Amino acid sequence: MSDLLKKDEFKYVYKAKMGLSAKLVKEISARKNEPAWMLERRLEALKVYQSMPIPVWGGDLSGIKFEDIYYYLKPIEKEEKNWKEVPDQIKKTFEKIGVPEAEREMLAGVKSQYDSEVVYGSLKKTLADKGVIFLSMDEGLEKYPELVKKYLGKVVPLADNKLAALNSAVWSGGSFIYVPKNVQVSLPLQAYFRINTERAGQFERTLIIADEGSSVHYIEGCSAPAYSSASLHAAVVEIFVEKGAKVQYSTVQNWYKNIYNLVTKRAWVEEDGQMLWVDGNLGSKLTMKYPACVLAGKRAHGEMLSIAWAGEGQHQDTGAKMIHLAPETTSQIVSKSISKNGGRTSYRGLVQINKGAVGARSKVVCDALILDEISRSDTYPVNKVMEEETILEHEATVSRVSEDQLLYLMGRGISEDEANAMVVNGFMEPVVKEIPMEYAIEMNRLVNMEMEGSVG
Amino acid sequence: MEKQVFDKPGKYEINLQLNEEGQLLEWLGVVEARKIGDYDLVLTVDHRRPKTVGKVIVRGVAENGARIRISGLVRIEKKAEESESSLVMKVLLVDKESKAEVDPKMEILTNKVKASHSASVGKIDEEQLFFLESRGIEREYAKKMIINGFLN
Amino acid sequence: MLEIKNLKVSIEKKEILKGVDLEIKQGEVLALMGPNGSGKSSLANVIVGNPKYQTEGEMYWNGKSILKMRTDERARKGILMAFQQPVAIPGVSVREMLLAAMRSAKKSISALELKQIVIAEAKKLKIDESLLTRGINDGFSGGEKKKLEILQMRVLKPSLLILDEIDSGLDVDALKLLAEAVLEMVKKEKMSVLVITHYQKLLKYLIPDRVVVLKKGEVVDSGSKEIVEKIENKGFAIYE
Repeated sequence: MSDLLKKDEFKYVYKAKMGLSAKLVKEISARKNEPAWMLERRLEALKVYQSMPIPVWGGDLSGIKFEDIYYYLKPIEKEEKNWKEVPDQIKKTFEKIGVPEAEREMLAGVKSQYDSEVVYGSLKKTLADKGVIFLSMDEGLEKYPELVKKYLGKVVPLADNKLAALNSAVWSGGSFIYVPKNVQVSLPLQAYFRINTERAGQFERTLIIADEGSSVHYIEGCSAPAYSSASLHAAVVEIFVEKGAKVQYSTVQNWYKNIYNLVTKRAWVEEDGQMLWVDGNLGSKLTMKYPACVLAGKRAHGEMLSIAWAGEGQHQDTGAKMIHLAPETTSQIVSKSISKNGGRTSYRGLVQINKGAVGARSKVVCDALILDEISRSDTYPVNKVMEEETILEHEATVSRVSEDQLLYLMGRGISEDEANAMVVNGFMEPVVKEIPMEYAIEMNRLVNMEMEGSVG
Repeated sequence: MEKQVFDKPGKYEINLQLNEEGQLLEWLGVVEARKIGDYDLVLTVDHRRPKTVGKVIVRGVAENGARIRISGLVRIEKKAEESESSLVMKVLLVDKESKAEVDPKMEILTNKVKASHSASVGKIDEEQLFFLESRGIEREYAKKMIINGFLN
Repeated sequence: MLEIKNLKVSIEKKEILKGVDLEIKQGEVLALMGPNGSGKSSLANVIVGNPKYQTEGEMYWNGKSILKMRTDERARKGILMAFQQPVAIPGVSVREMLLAAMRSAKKSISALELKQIVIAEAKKLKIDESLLTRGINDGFSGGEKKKLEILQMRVLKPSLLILDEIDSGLDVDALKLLAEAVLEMVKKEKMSVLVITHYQKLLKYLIPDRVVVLKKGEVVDSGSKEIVEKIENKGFAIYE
């Protein structure tokens, strides 16, 4: 773990001044050769951002010094076309993050982001043949401006919230994915994100469009090296699940514990579409993230499976939102959280069933595990029902590793530390089993590491 | 068990405090929202001492365009070790014009506790209705019977 | 093998055992009987080192004092209890747990080998295979839980097995099956068994070499299996 926290040597081609201004926004846009409409959009977003107050609900944001952040960095490495050309240093980082060997060979479809720009990545030929687009957002805008213009900001408008406005003003990098009608992408598309400079802000913008009858699984994983001062990560992810399409978006974030991770993720789901968010929050100082599904078409389905882990000095304020607009829409939220060493986990969620969403159903299950007497767990759900013909259920429990469970496992010869870790891993299992194997292993490994020496 | 009925539109704030070690509190709140209007119940169950037990149930029925909002917070303070708390909220929407919001919240500041809550919103169970109808009871009357049973 | 001298046990300042002497030899089946609240289960829990009890006195395992030893260390020395009410551990399968237990005990075994052993034992004990990959005891019936406890014994092969009210909630067929599985280990592996029960039903199949009767925290009788019959006919009232 310790070498994971070492800062990799990285050279930056261009490092904008700290702080934010219209001049900087123009500079970013000019450096990227963006169309005029995008610059206008950025400038409008900047105005909105500056006019909105800092949110006072959720976590404590007073530690962020917005003026001391670099809003744009461009690393030296050019986008790589194939794996052989990938610099050893980046390969090493993948090794540290724990990408398995076999996986690395399949990394043809990988986008890895070092700070503000996608460093390398090339698209698998088979996917390209099917018409699947998988680019960095910057390239996406360059090559498919009409597609980007049609969808960008349609589910997360730039005035949605202060941080979404900030992202809309200074976004850089992120992924752009388009899956054509009836195309099934069997291999998950992956991207690794990373913050690599002190006080580097990351403002990726991701846009995924799954056209009618298509399916895709996108994986985003993060790991950040150690830094002394607070850093900000404010991403926006927008997903469009068209009629009968299916999208899974899996994230495991393990940001270093001084990072503010404030993310807006939202999906628009059309008739018979399915959206599944799988979200693991292990790192960061404060994460505020509530992935949402707008269930707009008949029988659309939204699902959220999440795990939050809060250790010393950490606050995971996470949850989900399910907005039922159409008949027979269904949603499910399963949230598991663990707090330890004074950490705090909060579930914050919304289920809203609008008038006319006849036959809608929603189920929310929140389970929290508090591992010691100094840690904390909160649950703040809002459940609004405006239609009679519906079923909404919400359940939550808070518990601990019981003495009986420990005695049982120790009675089989298992040490107390290991017994604790087993119970915690078992608690997370329903969500962990939904994420790809290597992430699951990574998460279990992390829990075991965090649990070592936890008692006595 | 203590029971309180809220059958007129308005905002009601109820603070239930468990201030004595080992205290048991059983409370039933019934929101009968049978006329148009907003029925707001803001409920707090505050465990302040060790080994306190809170069992709180809130049931609501909304009809004729009524809107029910129940916000219930269970808070277990750091020193309220070995406390147990359960909060159950259930709302029945009887017609198309009525609405409900149920927000069961928890703030748990220590780990030697048992806490759970549940909330549900739905309409009258069709199977229950069918059963009563099969016994020769007219549908509207069967609904009334089910609502009465639910509230009592 | 196990030797207990003048053992005093209390929980939350309430005295439960008031100076108990007990010895179990290798390969011996010892029945511990007594009415509800006599302290039988407490004694079993103290033998495996449940930290919720306060203890005083002496307890030796092959001549070494173990009274201050942690539960997992005792388990690795071969003391295993089949619990009266096994707790559920969601998300942790019995196979996963047994693998961790074997590795803790430095027994080298691959996950695949263990899987085969566990499946074979499950067949013998008529345990549905689907239970093996589910969270231990999570939503299991009473009978399934008890069978799973015996399965763990078959795999971990302890030197001393403590059966704490294993017979409650089991039908005759299941009881026979479990008794046979235990007796086979007694014969083959010279395993010792401490059977705790307040019925004699189980003892028809698992015939004890010796019987000890506990009442209100004290040993009130000990001797051969005839005691079982005595209690069967006249009840624990004879010790009034």
